[in-house]
Amino acid sequence: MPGGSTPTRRRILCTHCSLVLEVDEAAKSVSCRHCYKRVVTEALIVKNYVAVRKFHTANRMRITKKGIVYAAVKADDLEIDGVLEGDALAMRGIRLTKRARVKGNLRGRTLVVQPGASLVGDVRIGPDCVPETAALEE
Amino acid sequence: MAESISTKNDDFATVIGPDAQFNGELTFQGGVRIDGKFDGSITTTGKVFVSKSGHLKAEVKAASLALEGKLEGNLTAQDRVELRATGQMLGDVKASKLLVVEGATFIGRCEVGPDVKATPAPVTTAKGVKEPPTMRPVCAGK
Repeated sequence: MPGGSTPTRRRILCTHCSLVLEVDEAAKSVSCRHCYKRVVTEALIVKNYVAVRKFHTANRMRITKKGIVYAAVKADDLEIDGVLEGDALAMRGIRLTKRARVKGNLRGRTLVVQPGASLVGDVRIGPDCVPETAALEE
Repeated sequence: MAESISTKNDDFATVIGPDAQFNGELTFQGGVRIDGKFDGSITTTGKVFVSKSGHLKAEVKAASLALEGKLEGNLTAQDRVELRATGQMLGDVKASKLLVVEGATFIGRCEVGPDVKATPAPVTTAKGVKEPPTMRPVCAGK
C-alpha cells in the first residue's frame, strides 16, 4: 500500500448467515461473500431511540443511558446502559450496567448484571451457548 | 461493584459434606454450604454456597447464593446471586442482583432488578415454621 501501513484484518461472522468473513479492521460495512447481504462491521454507540426489526453489527455495541432500543440485537460485545426491549445475542459477553432496563431473551458467553440493573427474560449464558463462534476459532 | 459473597468456612453453620446425600426439605436460619448432593427444597434467611462438588436438584429460597457446582431448579434470592466460573445453573432465577462469571452456565428464565420482590423467607414461630402471610381476594357475595 503506497504511503500507508499494512492494513490489519480480522475475522468476523456474517450477522445473517453466520459464516466466516475476513474484513479490514477499519471497514464500516461489507457485503457478505456467502449470502451477499450487507454486514455492518463498525462499533455502534446508540444514544437515541431506535425501533427496527433487526439491529446487528459484527463489532461492539453500546446502548448508552439515553439509548432506547426496540429490536432484535446482535453484536460481538454488548453493553447496555439504557433500555433494550427485544432479544439479544452477543458472540462474547453481555454487560448490563446499573441503569440498564432489559426485557427480552439473552444469549451469550458471559453475562454481568451490575447491581441496580433490571433484566426480565429467558437467558442462555455459557461457553457452549454460542456455538456459532466455534467457526471463528478454527 | 459490590463485594462478592464470602464463602469462608466460618460463615456456614450447616455443611452437607462431599460424601453426603440429602433428600427432603431444609428450613433454617443462617448459612449452608453444600459439598455433596441435595434433592428437595431449601428455605433460609441466610446464604447458600454450593461448592464445586455440590449438586442440587432443588427449589431454593435464600438471601443470597454463590454457585460453583450445579443447581437444577428454581432459585429465589432476596439479595445477590453469583454464578462462578465452574457454576452450572439450570432453572429460573429471581433476585435483585446477579453476577455470571466467564465460564459459568446459566440456562433459564431470569428476573433481576431492584424492583423484583423475592418472596420473603418464612417466619419462624414457637410452633414451628409458618408460611408468610398472603393476600386473600375479597369476594363480594350475593
